[in-house]
Amino acid sequence: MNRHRATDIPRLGFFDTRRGRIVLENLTAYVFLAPAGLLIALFGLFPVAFAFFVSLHRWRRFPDHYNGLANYEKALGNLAYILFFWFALAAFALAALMIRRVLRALRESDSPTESLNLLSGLVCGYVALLVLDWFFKLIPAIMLIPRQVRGQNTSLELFMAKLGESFAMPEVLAAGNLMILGLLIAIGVTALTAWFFRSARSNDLIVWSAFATTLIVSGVFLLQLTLTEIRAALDAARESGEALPIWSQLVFVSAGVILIALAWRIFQRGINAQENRRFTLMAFSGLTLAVGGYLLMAELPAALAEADDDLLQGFWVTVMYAFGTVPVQLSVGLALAYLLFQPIRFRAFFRMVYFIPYITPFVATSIVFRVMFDAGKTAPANRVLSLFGIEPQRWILERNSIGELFGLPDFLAGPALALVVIMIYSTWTYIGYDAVIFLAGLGNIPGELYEAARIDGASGWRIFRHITLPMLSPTVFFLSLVAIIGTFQAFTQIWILRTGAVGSKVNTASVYIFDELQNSNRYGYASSMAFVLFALILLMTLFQNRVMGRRVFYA
Amino acid sequence: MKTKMTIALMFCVLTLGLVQAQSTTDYEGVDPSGQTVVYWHQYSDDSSQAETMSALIEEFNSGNEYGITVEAIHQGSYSPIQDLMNTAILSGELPNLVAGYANAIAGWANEGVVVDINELLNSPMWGIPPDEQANLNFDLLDVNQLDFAPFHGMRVAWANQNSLNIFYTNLDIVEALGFDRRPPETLAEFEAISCAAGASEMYQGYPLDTGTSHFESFVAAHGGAIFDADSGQYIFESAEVAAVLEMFTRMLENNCAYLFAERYQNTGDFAVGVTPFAAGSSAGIPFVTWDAATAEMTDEWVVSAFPGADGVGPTLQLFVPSQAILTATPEQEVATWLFVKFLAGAEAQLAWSGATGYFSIRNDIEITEDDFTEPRMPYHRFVEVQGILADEMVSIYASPGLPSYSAVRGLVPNVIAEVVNGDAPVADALAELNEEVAELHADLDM
Amino acid sequence: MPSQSRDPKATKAKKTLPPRVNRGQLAIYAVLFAGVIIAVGPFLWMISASFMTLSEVNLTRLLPENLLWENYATALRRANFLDIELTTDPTSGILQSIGISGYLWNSLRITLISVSGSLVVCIPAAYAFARMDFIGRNFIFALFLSTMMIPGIVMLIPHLLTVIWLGRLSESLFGPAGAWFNNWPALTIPFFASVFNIFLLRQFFIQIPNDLWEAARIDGAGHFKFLRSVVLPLSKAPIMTIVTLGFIGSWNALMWPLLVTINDDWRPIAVGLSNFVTADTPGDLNLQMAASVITVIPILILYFVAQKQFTEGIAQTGIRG
Repeated sequence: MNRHRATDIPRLGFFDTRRGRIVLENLTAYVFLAPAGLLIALFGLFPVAFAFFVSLHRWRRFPDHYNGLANYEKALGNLAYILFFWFALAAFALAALMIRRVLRALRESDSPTESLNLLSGLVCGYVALLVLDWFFKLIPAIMLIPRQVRGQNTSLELFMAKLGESFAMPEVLAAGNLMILGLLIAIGVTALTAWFFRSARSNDLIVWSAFATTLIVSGVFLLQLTLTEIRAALDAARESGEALPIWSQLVFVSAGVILIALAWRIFQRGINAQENRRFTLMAFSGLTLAVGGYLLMAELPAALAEADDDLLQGFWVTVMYAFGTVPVQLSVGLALAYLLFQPIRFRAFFRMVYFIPYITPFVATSIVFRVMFDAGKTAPANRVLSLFGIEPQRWILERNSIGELFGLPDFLAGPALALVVIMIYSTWTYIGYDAVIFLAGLGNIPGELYEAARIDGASGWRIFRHITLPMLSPTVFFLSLVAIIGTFQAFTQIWILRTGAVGSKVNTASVYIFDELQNSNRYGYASSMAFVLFALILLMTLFQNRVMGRRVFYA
Repeated sequence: MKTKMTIALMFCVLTLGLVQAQSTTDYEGVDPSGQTVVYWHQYSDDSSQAETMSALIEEFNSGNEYGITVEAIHQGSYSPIQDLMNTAILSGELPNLVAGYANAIAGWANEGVVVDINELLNSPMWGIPPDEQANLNFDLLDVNQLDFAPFHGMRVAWANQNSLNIFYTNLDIVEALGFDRRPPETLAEFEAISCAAGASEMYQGYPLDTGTSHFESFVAAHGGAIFDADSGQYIFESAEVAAVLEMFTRMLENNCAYLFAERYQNTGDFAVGVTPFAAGSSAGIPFVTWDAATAEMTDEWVVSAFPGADGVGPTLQLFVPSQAILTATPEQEVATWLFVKFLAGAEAQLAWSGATGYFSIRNDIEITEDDFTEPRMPYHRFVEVQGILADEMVSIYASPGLPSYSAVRGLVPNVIAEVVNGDAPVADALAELNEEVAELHADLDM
Repeated sequence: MPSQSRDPKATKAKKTLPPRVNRGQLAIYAVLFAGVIIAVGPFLWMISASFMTLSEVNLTRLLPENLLWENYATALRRANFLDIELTTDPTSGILQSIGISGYLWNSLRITLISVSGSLVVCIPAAYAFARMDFIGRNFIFALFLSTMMIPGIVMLIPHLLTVIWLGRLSESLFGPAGAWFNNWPALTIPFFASVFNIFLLRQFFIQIPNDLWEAARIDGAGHFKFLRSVVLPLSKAPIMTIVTLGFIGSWNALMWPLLVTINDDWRPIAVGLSNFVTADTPGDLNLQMAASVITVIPILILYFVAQKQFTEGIAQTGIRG
């Protein structure tokens, strides 16, 4: 970002010196960021930390007691231990990555004092954890206030007095003092290092080392938590005389995943390799994949034996829902946008009309869809079917999957017809939105490219394939990212279109978790499942970023 | 990080303090003057319930000697009320009186925010004297008296909207299908008529609701129940429950019954004269009457108790949405109780039952045709329903008022759907349900 | 393009080629109109049903026999959408005050606050990410983006806790008007810092040529002045985009407003519609449709007015991953 650093114009005053300007730039940036940062910390980051904290407890509406990974174990069976083990390792691996970056940067460095920037990173990282520590001592105390004031006149003064008391609880106070001290030291150290040892790389150094510190401490915490829990589970199993093969499952499942990842790498290398090596690499990749896949297939069901079946089904429904909506929605949206981009009349009219499904509230459109896809013979969808001589279907009441209706075996059958109706609904809602954004993307492609291609005699399809699509790839990438995140969080569409007759066959993970929250008020358990869902979405996004992000062409 | 033990310890200390604080409140000598009572209800605007309730509130507000003001707020249906109550419990700022079913209220009581009405009811200063209590119908009121752990006889709410899950029969259709012109007396007869209707060109079979309440009504009709109060356990692995699932499966397979998607579609279809039977709340009678009139359906129809299985007489399920008094200062609790007591008075009950068609919680009043003002429900229907309730032959069933019942209600429809669709054998599905429900019961009700 | 590319003459023509109706064009129109029918068919039936009698709706008729305008009057009244009270002086008859209440009015207020608050919060943040150099920039940006992946359910309870206690804090500072719960802050402030908006604006701000900044600096302008007098005037279209999207989101929000409003003082229209539709008694579908149509009209108008700039805004942000 050196381009923002303008040439010096000599003038007096601290903020006109080089250092002063950097300090000013930092201060102004933080001032600009402060409102958004504060709000996102409150309404975005705090909920995640809070959900994780809650998930480690037995917690109905109010905190009950700490119970380790019990909620996760209930949700995922033994896989919970394996996942937490991986989380811990991932934290260490990321920390190692950060440390490697730091070391490389220092090796290139010519001034030995540059390494002092690490100190401020170290302190900042540790202080971040102190803040968390204080927070999680304070929050349960605050949450319990409504219980303490019961039977009293619940005035604002009373609540504020109780709030004050919870800040002054000895535990909280001690942690709070430590935190404030830490914050002061962190600011002091950062200011000092920024003042004396500032270099082009110091920003990176501070962030990397702070991140590494936080990661290492979190990793240690996670590892210790997991090991304690595994040991407890093994002890309990031994006492009741059962065998609990957590360790072997851990080894085999991990090996399976690693082998599959390895197969992918080899496959990629194989694609780019020369003719003679390609075959060997491909064969080797296939072999690795087979072994890894076999390990997973053999061990994963055992690891998931004690898991919550409804949650697993929820994940499966979510995956089907995502694969049933995102590709259709994007390709139809793109096709519409491509047609709209042709020199035609009434473009504004079409653009307006296609957007209507997106802007109409779910409450309203869902009523119409329920009427359209009703099970009765006179329902519009069935009337259309009868035009083609097809038997009336039960649509939103149909629990059988589309495959079963065609006589396919169970595991190939796919989503329930009711879920297909919901997919149609969801696709209908978002196609116009996608088309409008694609249309904007198409408008960004320079006309000269098309003309050049046409002069070369390229056909319409080739132009689309080799010019339009690559130039549009950022838009495709963005929309698919948003769509996948959206479908994995999908809730409202399903919640309002599901019927009792279909049962849980259409419940995505989100819907199942919400039911759990609303019907049983087990916040601890619901939080653990929601956290697993969050981890899954994060993983999916990272994966998509790696796989698709490489193919994105930036003009 | 290493603080988890201390946090756990802190919880223990706080919870201990809480248990000690929950002692009985002494209401004698409390002065409820000038209190405001916030009341959350679900009567939608424009309904006769809402109009009558606001008239009663106005009367109470202007007439009570303590200057108590009741402020009623419409909060949509029961589902938003439950959501809002969850929020209110978290924030500590509760309304004083709230509408709900026994199980939802039991869940709130488990968090310690519900007042035991017995203490107010039997208070020498504020309560209802024993001789007057004799005029109250405790069959209805005791649905909210929770005699099992952890409530131990707590009266968590006060019934005010009493209705029945009732069985509708279209006599003309039954006769047209070649059966006796009367409601079916046994389940076998019910099934035979439904099958005849399903096989006919003109009519459809029985609109089968996959909801839990409807399911329980049929379990009761088989002489069973899903909760055994003596052992304190849910029992789904019983012959009666299995019989219901088998009956549902059989009826759907043979086209004697059909599933539906929209709420109230069953009574709606009944009202337009396409099905011989429907099951629904007696509070729905006005809507059935109205829909039938709109569709110009002239068939004669009657309501009755559910037909029973062999050896089981007619049965009925009570629906008793109630009002719970929530914890506040003793003054506010008494003020709220005075309003509830006012609603339980003979005059208010006459107005309430007369305008809405709900049964009165009093034995000593009779709603005559002149008192009956619900515009969409003919008086004779009201008499019919009251007659069924008063019938000695009919056994009464009520859903368990347990916090876990909300979650159980969510599980049952899925099991029904699974079984009737042939995805799982009855015995396996019920064994699994029983296990899940036992876990919920152990986790949520203690 | 397919139809034209085979015609070498077409390449000579200017970009603003006047549409010539040939077979290819006809096919395009046919597909587009089919799309129109699918896209608005359900919507049109919603309008049609809103004019029907109840039995016509129940029979799923396509069109009503008579237009029942009174459905709208009934829906407006029953669903408590809008209530205008004109207070006139009893003696002179001069209009003294206008009291507007009802869900439509609430939604309008909430949406305005929410959207303008979002602009105030997101623009500087996006600017900082796009054009300033500070410690932890990429890290903080990644952290912000990661919050987009959090499933909504996780947020529900922590959000409630935050709103409850921040509200109490603000109430003790500013008096009853400062309350958050059942008041505008709970309905709007959590949505001020929209990561999506920040992302979109950052993409646009990044493309502003650096020369402009150099020139402004030489004139002695700081970041704030540059933002106000150069960047903002250039950003009308992207801002219109996020205003439109924010308006739609805020107008249709249901779950959260339901939890934080306990009476009709601030309850928005989506909650009103939902309560009207899901009442515990059998409802009238035709009235529900009328209420739905009333709910959509304001957004339709807004989108109609803003659509050109909305699309331009999306194009200008370039939307890159």
